[in-house]
Amino acid sequence: MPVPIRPLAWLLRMMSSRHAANAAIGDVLEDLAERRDAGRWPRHPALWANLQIIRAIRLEMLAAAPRLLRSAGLILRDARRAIRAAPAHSLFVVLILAAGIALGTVTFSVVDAVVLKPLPVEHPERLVSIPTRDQDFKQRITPEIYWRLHEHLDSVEDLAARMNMTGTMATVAGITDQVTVTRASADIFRMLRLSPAIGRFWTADDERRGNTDVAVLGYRFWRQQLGGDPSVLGKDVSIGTRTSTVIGVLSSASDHPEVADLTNAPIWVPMVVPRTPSESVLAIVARMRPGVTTAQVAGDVQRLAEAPDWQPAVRRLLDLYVAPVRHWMLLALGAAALVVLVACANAANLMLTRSAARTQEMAIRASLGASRRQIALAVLAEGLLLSLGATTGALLCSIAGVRLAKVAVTTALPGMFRASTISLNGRVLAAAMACAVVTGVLCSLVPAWQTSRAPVSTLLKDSEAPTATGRRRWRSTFLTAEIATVVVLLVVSWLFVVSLIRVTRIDLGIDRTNLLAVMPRLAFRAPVDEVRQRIESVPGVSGVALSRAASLPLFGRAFHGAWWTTTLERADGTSGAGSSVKALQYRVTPNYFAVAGLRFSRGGTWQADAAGGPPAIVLDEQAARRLFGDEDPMGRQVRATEPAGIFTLVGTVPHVYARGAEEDDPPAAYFNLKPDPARIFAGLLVRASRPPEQMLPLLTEVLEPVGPDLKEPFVFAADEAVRRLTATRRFNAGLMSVFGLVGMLIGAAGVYAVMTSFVAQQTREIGVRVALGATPARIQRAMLALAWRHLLAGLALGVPVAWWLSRGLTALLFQVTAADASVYAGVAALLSGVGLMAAWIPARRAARIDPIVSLRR
Amino acid sequence: MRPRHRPAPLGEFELLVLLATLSLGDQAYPVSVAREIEARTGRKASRTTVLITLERMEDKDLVSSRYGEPTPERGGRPKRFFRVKPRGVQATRDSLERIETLTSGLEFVLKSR
Repeated sequence: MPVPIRPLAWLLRMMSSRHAANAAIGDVLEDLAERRDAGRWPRHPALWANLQIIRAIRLEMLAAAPRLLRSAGLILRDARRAIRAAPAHSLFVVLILAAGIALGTVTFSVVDAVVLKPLPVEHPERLVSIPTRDQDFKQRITPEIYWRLHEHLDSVEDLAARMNMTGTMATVAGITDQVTVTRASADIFRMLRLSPAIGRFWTADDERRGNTDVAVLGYRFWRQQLGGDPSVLGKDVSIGTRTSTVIGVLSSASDHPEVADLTNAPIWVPMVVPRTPSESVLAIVARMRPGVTTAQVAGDVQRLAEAPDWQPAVRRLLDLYVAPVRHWMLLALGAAALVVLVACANAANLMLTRSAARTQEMAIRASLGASRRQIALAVLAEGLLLSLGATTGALLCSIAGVRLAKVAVTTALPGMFRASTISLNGRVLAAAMACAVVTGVLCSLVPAWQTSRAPVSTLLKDSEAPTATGRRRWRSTFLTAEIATVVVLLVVSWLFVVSLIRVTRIDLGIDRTNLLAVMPRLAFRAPVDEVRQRIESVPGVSGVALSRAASLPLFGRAFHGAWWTTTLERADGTSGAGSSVKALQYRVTPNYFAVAGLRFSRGGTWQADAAGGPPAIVLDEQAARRLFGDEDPMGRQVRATEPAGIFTLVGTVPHVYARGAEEDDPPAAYFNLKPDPARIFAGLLVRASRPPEQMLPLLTEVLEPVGPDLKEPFVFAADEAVRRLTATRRFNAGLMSVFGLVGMLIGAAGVYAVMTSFVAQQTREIGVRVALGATPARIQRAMLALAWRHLLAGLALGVPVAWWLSRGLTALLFQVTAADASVYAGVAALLSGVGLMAAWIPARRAARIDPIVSLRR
Repeated sequence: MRPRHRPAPLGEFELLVLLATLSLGDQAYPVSVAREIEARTGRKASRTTVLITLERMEDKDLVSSRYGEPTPERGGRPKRFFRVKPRGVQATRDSLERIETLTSGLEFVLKSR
């Protein structure tokens, strides 16, 4: 005989009663037996039986709906009354839950906007980027291979070359502006499912026939700069020396705030990939066929590129955009969830305390005929109402919170992907409501169960009910769990704060005090020597050095830069410590070291007019050690690939963390920058005797006539560069500290509330103890010991969990490990201090209990 | 004591279920009632609909139910037997009287068809 599926039987029981449900299932089985005897046995008896039960459930539901609505109304009325009867308690629960939910909502709104939301194009999960260079920047996909992929890569539907050129000066229909230009092959429009608002797009046919002096305009640019004028078709677009004709405008669907730079560039021009061998730089995007994985595409690309030693990192487009922040954003979401959990545990504890005070009331209701289920439902409804109230409050706070978060993210992390789309939208509201239901159930489940299981007979007696022990045990469990969760939060935030301190304290190699850089992205409008003279004429400037090839250290990473490298070898032919060393290639004037504050560990700089003999080179200590080991490198000869030649080592300087403390930096080699009066491009390092905030306007003003024709700034302070480089880390540490702090405050409130309720419920017992001779100090000590036991239990539980979780954060930490004992000691000390302080007030109240008053109660 | 209201008029299916339950006496449970209706009237009656109808009439105080002993052919589950209460008998009588009142004078028409 088939057995009904357990959840169905359970649901049927919920709709009627256990006996009635059993009888109804019996009817189904009897019916089935009868069919068997009559030769009408269903093909799938188990399915038939379960369908019959589903039908019964449906009919029972329809029949019971009015009754259920009436009961729900009554339950809600009782819950409302219970809340009104204890306004202070209810407010406390609401405040604690609201703090947790508000923090969770704001965090979710940020993480959702930046990381979770899909790109607003059709099937964004199938869009991938295919790298064309390997990790060493060696080109693996040449134009020739591109066309091979275009024709034979079966795992993708469409494949297109696409590149964005930011900050390009362009003139459209007489209007000149600095804009982003997308260069792409014709397939891009079909791949991104774009359509023209007016005109047309260029086609592969146009590209084949060389009909490529055409341009398509972005929707927003067309509306805002050209007033949506349809006569723009046929007008000229000038980018540099090239002039194209506008043939179309993208439709409004391309201008979505969440699409980043994928489809909202103001100007689109063809990118023709040559079919003949060439060194053209490429960037490739593709749309995978349904059901294909990135690994499959990578495998196919590797095969077609005939590069068995290269594993191309094919990545989804969204992953590419959010990669730098994905991990820590998800971590922040996890931390926010922990704060919500702490709030839930705390609210559950408060509700348990309240249910203890309502024992008599519940007993009377039970004796008047309320079933256990009704009593439990009343407590559950109370929890849900409270969490609903908390969510309403939290959402009101979140309106301001989300705005604040948006401002914080956009100012602290300039250029953050989709930061402008952070808002309190439908998804966030849905998440907040789900959070309300989950927290409501979580915080009232145990109180509901505990309240409903008390037998009426013992409840009505004047003695302590046996459930009081269970309730107390649950309260201890909740408090311990709460403290353990706070430990986890504090350890994680502490690790981030320690990482930040270590990042900011590390010696980056150069002296950043009053150091500035003049670093345009394009050439000056005057020779560099004139620029230099202009800078030197500014009062307060004590030195100016020139640098080319690799961008200026720190500034290059923080603003815009390129990392030119060279390969070094010992010229004497012996293999030495390392056969060859890849190093950053700086070409600098001899005073560069003095201006940068680089003190020579050996030797010194070359003479300005060094002539005769092999040219000079200065290496950093890393490069020197790798080439020459412990030998004295001074005067030795080094062969370099770029600039090609043999150089004599004249000095060594300390290593400079050119890309900031957190990135692996190759060693550096400094070559002589030959004087050239016609030079119009170089980076200039400026040492001043006055603070950068005074120097910046002076330098900007004096360079105004010779600066490149771009709107963007090109004079920067070293401190600002470091601030930019550490922005994400500072934001992380700040965010984690907020989570840790809020979690700790809620935890402290939990300790306080539990101790207060304990004192309130044990007043009589304490009175007896005082009457029997216990001193106030002893009572206070006993109370503090109780709090201490909970703190210790929470630490014992939380520390291993925190250690286990923090091991996964190694990639996000800096010079601190998950096993750093000082972090755990600090957290333990902080938490014990705060916890004991929270317990001290109720303990003092206990110590002051008057035995006469308490015994009279 | 406040006099009790007369039971509300029955629906057609309710009347059928009540009549079948009355005729089955102590052996009326959803499966047997459904079977009885089908055998005597030829009208298909689903067991679940019969059960829901009986439960609704139990809420109206027209029938009462009790549980029997578990039986092996029902997977060890008991039967839920229903009995018509005096109010249920009264409701049945009222309904039949109404039908009778309406059909009087129509014998010629009804018999000839």
